[in-house]
Amino acid sequence: MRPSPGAPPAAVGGGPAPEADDARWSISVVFSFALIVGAYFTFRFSGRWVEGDTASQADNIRAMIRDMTILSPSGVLYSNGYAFSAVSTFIVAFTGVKIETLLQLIYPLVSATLVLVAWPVYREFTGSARAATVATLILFVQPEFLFVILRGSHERVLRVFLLLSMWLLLRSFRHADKTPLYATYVFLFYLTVYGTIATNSWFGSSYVWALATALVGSWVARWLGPGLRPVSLSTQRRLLYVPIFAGVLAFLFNSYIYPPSGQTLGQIPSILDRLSRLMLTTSPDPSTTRYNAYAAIFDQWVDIRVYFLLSLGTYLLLAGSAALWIRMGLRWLAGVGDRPTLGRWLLWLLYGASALQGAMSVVADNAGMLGGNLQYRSFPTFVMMASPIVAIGLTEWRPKPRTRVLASGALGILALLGIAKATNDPAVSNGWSFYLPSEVSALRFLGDYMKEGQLYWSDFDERLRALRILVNASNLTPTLDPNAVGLRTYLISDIIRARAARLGRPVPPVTGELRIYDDGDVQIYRKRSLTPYQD
Amino acid sequence: MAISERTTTPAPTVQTSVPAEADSPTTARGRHGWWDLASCAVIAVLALLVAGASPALRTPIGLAAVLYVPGFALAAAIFPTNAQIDRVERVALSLGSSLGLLAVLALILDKVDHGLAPESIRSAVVGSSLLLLVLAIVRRARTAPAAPRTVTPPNRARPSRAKRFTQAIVVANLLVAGLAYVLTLTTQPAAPTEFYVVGPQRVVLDYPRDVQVGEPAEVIVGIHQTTDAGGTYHVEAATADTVLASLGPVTLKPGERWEAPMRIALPAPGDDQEVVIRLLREGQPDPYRYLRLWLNVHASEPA
Repeated sequence: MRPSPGAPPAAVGGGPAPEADDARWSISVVFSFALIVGAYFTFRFSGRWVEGDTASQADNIRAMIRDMTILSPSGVLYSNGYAFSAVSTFIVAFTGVKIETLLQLIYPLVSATLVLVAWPVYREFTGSARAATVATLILFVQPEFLFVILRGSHERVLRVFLLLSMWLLLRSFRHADKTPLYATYVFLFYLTVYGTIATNSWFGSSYVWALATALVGSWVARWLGPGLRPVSLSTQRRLLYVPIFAGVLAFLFNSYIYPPSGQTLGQIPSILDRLSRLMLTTSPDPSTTRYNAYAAIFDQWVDIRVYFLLSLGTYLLLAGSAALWIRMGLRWLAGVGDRPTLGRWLLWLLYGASALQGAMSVVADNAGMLGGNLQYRSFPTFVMMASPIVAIGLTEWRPKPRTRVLASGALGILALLGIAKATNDPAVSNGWSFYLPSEVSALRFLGDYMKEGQLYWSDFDERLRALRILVNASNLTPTLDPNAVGLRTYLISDIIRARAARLGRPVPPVTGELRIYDDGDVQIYRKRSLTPYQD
Repeated sequence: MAISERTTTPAPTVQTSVPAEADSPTTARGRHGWWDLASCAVIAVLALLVAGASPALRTPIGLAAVLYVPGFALAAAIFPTNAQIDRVERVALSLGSSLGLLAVLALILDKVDHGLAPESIRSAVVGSSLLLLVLAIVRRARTAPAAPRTVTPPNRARPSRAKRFTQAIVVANLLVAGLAYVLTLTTQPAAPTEFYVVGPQRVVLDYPRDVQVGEPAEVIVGIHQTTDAGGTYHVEAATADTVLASLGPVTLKPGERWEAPMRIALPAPGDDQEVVIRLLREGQPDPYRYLRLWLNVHASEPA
């Protein structure tokens, strides 16, 4: 059911309006579900999980606390923005918790508060409390979104800023005729835009581009569909200055406030150059070799079919949202049904903009630019836009009771699969992220008793390398190559042995070597010196 | 306060999806009163007062003082009543504005020497929160008194089945999440007991390789006791059939570290002789931990 012009928006999302109290309970259900997911994320590994970005952020926060400045003279800082480190520093100043406790145990629960931010935004977009509840639920069963907000990275802060700024933008649109209120919303909007840029200037700039794209899309739509003219004009009038001012804010931030962030954006002009070198030469040099963002998937999961099963919700969201988005657009263009509301129109535009950015990130990833993982990085933003699109479709759906029960069951199964994927559950994932307390002890031993410059091996991937940074165990960087020149020390734990069995890879041969450390679960071996001159 | 679908007056040309006014005028001020501002002020002040207390006490108060109170104070200063935003929107705005304020505050503090020291941070956050709360109080006090609050008789009817089901889910979810979290916090294992051997310089270097028969090779053995219990140990170095050296008994308190030099002399020549250094725990027949060295033992040269 859609509103007719002039009709109250209670009917926008379809269905009868629930009582306010019912809506509160609906939010509570999603919020408590998010709390369960957060608690499970820590409970699954007893709070002992680690991954690269979490470790890196721990290092940045530690440097900010130690040096008491956002630009640490040690050079240890998050080059894309300072806000997450600053927020964490503030929390540590008040609570006195350890940085690893904050990242591993507290933040996953704090992430549940995103529900309370997402819900009003989605209500503003969809015009329906029911659609907002469904959209928020869909958002919180998406593994790609869950993973980024549960781990110890800046994304939980970033998502709050992004969601809130969209709500403020829509509110400012709605109150454009009331100057003081409009100015208030505009002030708060730019505060959140600044927060987005200060958290990650790359994402902040992408957001500015998305708004600019929405503006252009609105302008194009004005000429294509006469029925879209009013909403398009309204959007243009109010959106025109946003990309300009936000762009200036981003420029000031990158150039003057936090210069390290400008370095990342400085890579953008070279993308075309790298792409052309990649496409036009028959013998590309290694620096321009095509980067395959999907290559890791085959190693990362026990079976590629399991990966696709766990990603089912993602693919359904992709396909469903795309179909609904096209249908909505075509109906509006053809003038069938009702004209779009401002909220739905902006949602439709931002969905298109984020999809376009997703496509562009595939190009950037192929060029091996910006870490080569932009598809992965930009997908959660796309999910944020796709969820309400699908929710609108679902709330307009009128299934029979039995179908409704089946659909609810399917959503429950998708939620479980999503959680398994987001937590890298070792039953299905080869990318183990958990560790033992004894591994921490062993890393500290190496930090205490190895000399600067000595090499050691610990695990087949970044797991213990990240753990070393997270718990600040030592300044020694382990090598991932068990045959590295000069390497004579090997840290072998029960987890590494189990992992070697899972991956079908041999544990470094240490049987006939010195065994210099034993804490029950972990042993450290040192290769015997072959000549009297080796130490 | 309306959280559900609400009515609005659409703009002349564009339908807006959400109503302009969140609450009815009758609830504009009466709904809030002063308790919300007062409780935020209490949290902010408490966060300062408990600065030296244990993290268990400081954590919930500190999190609220950092992640909620500053934004709530800002939102209350801007929107002193519920006339423009409803409760859910106020919560969202409080959470987001807190983070935005912290981003700006960090930038300002960074310009001051040692601005990001814990004391400066606490003072700045609490100070700005209280300032905004005072502004909010002034603005709320100046707001024209609302019409007398409509007193709605409490609804004695039993909640609908769907609502009861929803409430049960919320309670169950909170219980499960709470249980999982408490289990996580309370089942943190202690650090293990570590047993190690290092070279004479106390680094992972210079392990003995070639020795003469009867010539003692020196290493340093160490024990780092687990943090949850004490223990008494013996350390002995042995070949397959001969005990070469022993140390102890050593009694260690939880978390205590012990290191001592150990001299190992082998009685017979031969290459690749395995020396096992065992950590024997009192009351346990089998070695608790063990280490291994390899030595090439050469016959003594004639004097």
